[in-house]
Amino acid sequence: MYIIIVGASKAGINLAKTLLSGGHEVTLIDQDKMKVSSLSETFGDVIMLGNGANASVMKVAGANRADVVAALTGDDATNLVICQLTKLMFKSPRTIARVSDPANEEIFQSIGVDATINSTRMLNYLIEEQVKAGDVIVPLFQLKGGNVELVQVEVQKESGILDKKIKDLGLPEGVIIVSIYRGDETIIPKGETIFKQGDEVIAIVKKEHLEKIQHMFKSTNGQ
Amino acid sequence: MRVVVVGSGRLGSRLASIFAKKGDSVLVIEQNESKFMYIEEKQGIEMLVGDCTDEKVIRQAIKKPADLVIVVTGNDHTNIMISQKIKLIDKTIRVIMRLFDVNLAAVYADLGIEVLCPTSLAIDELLRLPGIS
Repeated sequence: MYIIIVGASKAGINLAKTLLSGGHEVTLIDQDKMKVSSLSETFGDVIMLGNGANASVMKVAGANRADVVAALTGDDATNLVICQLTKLMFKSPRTIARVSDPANEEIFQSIGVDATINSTRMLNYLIEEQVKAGDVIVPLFQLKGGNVELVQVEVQKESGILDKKIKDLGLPEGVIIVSIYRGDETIIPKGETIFKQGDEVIAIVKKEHLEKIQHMFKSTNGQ
Repeated sequence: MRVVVVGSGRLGSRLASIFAKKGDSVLVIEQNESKFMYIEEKQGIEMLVGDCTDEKVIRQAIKKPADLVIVVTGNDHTNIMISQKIKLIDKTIRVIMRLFDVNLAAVYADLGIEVLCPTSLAIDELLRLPGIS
C-alpha cells in the first residue's frame, strides 16, 4: 500500500516507521523546515517538506495513487482541510484524521472522512475504564457513521471464552473478529480458531454489542 | 437584516461597524475578548466571547435567526471548519468566508459556501489600476 501521512508529530513519525517496516510505501509530509531536516537522516526520501493542505503539494506527494491519506497534524481544522481536499481533488484514497476535540468528529464524518482517531476520547475511555477496573476493551477507530468501532480487547484469564472455538461462542451479528495477536504471531481467525489467555484480539463491533463483548472477554471471577 | 460576524480582527470589526451603521442587527463573536477593541464604534453591536468551532456557540449565535454569517477569523482552516459547521446546523443560512489562500479559495468556492479571497481581490484591483497591464 501507499500511505501519505501529513504531520510529523510523534504519532506521524511512529506510524511512518511501523508502516515502512511492514513493507509499505510511505511519504511523511510536514511544513516545519527544522523538523523535516532533522528527520531526513532517518527517513531519507520518505520525508517531504510542504503544506499538506495544499493540493499541489499533495499532487507532488502522489495523492493520486495513494491508498490512504492520514492527517495527523495537531490542528483539527487543518486535518479537516487536508482530508476534504484529498477527497475533492484526488482519485479516492481513504482518509483518516486525528481529531483532538471529540465535538469535531461530526463535521469530519459529514464531509466523508473514512475514519477519525480521537486521542482525547481514547484517553477518556482508558481512564474511565481504569477507574472501573478490569474492563478490557480499547477503542482504536470509530468507523464512518459512528455506529461501528474497531476495538482491541484482551482475553483475560478465567474468561468464559477461553479454549473455545470462535464458531461456538455465539457472537452477535455485528461483531467480526479481525485478527488475534498471540505472542509474536498474528492469527487471521477462522471458525475453528481457539482463544488463549492473553490473546490480543482486534474486532469490529457495533456499539450496541460493546458491553456484551466486554463481558465475554473479561475474567469471570469479577476482578 | 441580522448579521453575525465571526472574528473581530481588522476586517470583522470594520464590517460590524458598517452593518450597524446601516441599521442592521449585528452580533460579533470573538474568542479573544481583547480583540473587541478593534471595533471603534460599538453602538448597536452585540459582542459575544466564544469559540465558534464549538457547536454550542454557533447555536447561540444563530438563535436569533441570521440572514448572513461572515466568517473572518485570521486562520483559513478555522474559517473552513466554522463555515461548514454552520451549514451543517442550518444549510439555509448564507455564509461568506474569507480565505487568504488562493488555491483553497478556488476549491471551496465550488462547495456552496461563498468565498472572499483578499489576495485575488488585490490582484484584480491592481491590474485594473491605470497604467498597469
